[in-house]
Amino acid sequence: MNLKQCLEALPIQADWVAIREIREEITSRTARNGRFDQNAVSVDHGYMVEVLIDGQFAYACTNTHTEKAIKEAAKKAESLAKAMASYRLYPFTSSVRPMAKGSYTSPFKISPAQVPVSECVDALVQTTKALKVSDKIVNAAAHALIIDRDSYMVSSNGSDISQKSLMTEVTLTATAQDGSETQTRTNGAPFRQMGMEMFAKDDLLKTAERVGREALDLLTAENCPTGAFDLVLAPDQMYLQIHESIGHPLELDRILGDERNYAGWSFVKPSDFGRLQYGSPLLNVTFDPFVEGEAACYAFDDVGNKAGLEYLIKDGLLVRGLGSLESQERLSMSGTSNARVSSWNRPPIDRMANINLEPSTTSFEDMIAQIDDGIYMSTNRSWSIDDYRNKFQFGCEYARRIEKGRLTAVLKNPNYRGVSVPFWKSLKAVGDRNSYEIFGSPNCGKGEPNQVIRVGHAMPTCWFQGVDVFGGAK
Amino acid sequence: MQDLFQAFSKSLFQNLQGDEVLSLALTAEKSLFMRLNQAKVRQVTSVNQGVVTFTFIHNQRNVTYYIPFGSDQATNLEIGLKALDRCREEARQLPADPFCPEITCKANSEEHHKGSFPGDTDWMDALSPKLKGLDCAGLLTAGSVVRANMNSLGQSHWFDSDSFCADFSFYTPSQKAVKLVYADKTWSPEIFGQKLDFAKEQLKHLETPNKILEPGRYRTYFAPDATAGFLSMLSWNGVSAASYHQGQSAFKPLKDGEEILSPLFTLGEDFTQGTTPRFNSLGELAPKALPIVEKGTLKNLLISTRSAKEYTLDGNYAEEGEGLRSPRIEVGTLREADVLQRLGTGLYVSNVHYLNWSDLNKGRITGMTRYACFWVEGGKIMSPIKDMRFDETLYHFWGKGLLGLTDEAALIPSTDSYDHRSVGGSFAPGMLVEDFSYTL
Repeated sequence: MNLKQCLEALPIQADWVAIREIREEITSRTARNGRFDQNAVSVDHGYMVEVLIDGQFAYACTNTHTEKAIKEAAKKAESLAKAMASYRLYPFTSSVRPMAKGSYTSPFKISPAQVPVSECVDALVQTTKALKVSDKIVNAAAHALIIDRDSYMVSSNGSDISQKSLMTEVTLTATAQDGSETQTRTNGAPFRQMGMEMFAKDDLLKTAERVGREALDLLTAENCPTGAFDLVLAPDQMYLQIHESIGHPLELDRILGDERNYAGWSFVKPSDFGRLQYGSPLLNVTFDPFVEGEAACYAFDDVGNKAGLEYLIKDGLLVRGLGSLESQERLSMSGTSNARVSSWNRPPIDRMANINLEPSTTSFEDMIAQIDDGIYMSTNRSWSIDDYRNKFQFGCEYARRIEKGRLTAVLKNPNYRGVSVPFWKSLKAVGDRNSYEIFGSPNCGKGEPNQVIRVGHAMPTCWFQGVDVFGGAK
Repeated sequence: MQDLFQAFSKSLFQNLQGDEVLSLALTAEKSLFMRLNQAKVRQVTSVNQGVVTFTFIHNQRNVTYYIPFGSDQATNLEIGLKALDRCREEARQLPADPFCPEITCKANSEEHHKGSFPGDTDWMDALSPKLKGLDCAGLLTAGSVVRANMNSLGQSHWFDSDSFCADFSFYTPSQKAVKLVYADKTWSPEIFGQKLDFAKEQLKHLETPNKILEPGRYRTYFAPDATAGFLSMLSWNGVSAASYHQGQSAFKPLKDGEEILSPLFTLGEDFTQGTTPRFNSLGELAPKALPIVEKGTLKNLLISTRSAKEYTLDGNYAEEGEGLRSPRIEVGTLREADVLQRLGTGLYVSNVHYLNWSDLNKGRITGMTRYACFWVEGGKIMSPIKDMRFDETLYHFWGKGLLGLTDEAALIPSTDSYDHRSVGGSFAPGMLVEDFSYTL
């Protein structure tokens, strides 16, 4: 279908109109306990017509692939915009829909077409065998997720944007059991803009052996102690700490109250930008669409705003929010290029993309060497935070005690809790480039109606002081 | 849509080769989503979508494939036939699956639930006068949803339902909030008005300074919405047989006899409520009612056909993910009018937020209080509370800590709309719990 021709033929009168086409093919393959388990392919493909009439945006979408269906969607959007205009929250203009032309293709080395299904299946099955390092491993699973996404947008003011991204995630899981004790260890499920090189068999087998062994270690480990400790967090826990207690609270639509009924509000107020000391001077956080391989790289957000690198927190000071052009207009403040949609069937809202904590100069070894009595935690397994993004609690899979500058005993069921700003102010040291890793999530949920978005987070290991730590249930 | 899906299915079944078997499940909707902030329209979206899920089986190979399904049959068939070829290609490269589900034809069903509510462009005319002067945020969802299944052995299920859901919250000037959810098939301005009046009453209670409580253990009454929040956790590594056998289950201590639940606690799947289709995505019909916990004793985990094969169990036609679809917690004897008096001194919690397992295999859950939550003394509401984090095991709040359940349960509708609108909901009473643990 020629979307430009379709756009020109739409039988509506609007101040601005666009058609957004999104196609996503998602492949999910799982092996378990030496056998292939499940195989699913999903093709999601549809069109969203977005209109602006009298200050009100309205959206109507369809996954019927005909011009007739798109025209019907356009008529629907027109009628909704007209009906709602007198009840609108804010009188927008097309200034929040800039004209943009361009394209983006994410980098990869090996495309899915180059890897036969049987080869992928074999790699996963062999990996589950490698996870089973002992009879005490009662469940060993390997899961491959491949997301191939194409988006194309044209608009009445001349926008023409096509973007293509290939994202992959591999999750290795080993559950060990001995009597009534059960512990699960994973590889942290890295999620990247990356091709089938994510599933290189040799890498998987090597990681599997470590994951299986650490699951066994957890069976005989002591429960994480309770108390206030120096806490060192590995990148595969740091990413969720950043996500929940920096990313979400800085979303401007949340600060505007749009999310109050669902995901919640924020403790951050508009007057805090430029004033609030969010964390220690070591804290530098960016919105960065250009870190190669990170999950949310793009050239334009989903309304055509050109993507750019911005500091959100600089030397600990809060400087900028995560807000699209609509939120920037409503608050009269600057933001980022982050109006994003999960798919063709949801309207754009303020989302995270790549939110990164910049590395500093402390090596991991030096960090540990300076700690007399602390805990090192890795790999998130539990997360919870309040609806203002203040009181959080996280649990990890695996921890080590730090005693007199050395990593010692393995600890099980490590958890910690805190309050966002005091926690970030307790940031004592930030790791160097050697501990800097890229993680992300394919499933950040928000919005009404609900939608998930893909996000990336890159960060090093970090050290916090005086954190409330505790173990598993008695 | 029904005729379209039936004709589509018939065409695909006619294109099967040899001993290929195919099950097709349809999830479709025509929905309005009207998002409000400050009682005004923030965004309005109309969604017209359908997705067909293929379960293709041949030579003990099993492929699941999802395709878009729209109103143009020629396009549907073109996409569908290509999907069939793709399933064949995938199956050729897969090893045999010893736990491959079997497609059967045991029963057919057809349900139509018609509704009556304002048209898409009329909702704000209906709501705006009632919301005047209120700070309201939330989502109005309305339209029709479809779930259907047909297979190449002749099975056919159809469920369609018109419904709306007003999922709103209302705010004081200091941003304390109460929740209102009104979901049904027929819109009644009077019922909405009554719910709004109750919300306004609660807002008045919130207009006093918060009491800040120290972490500790407190007697707590959880309103039905909050009880439903805890109940939803059981669909995540709780009642699933696969989760138990794979070593990640909050019900493991219960099943292994290491823990017990209260004799006051009875939970089951209850499809007689009529809010959710009985058939799962393979078209298998779950029992109308299935006890899961009866007076504290575990009776059944949810077992899909796949798990039944893998672990040599008697399946009960759970959905593949083995989550609860139409749960009901049986009521108790605590009268709604006596709740505050029985609570005496403690917390009244209307809703909970962001629950997660903090220790899955011990059944420990962390989360936050949310919306209209109050400190109660001597059976009287004294003040709202500052939100609190809790961390408590289900073996306490549904075990030795459970003091009582209300004598009436509320249908808490499922409002999830990731990818598509959900159907159904939970029947949950309020629950009174002793010594519930708050940590921050």
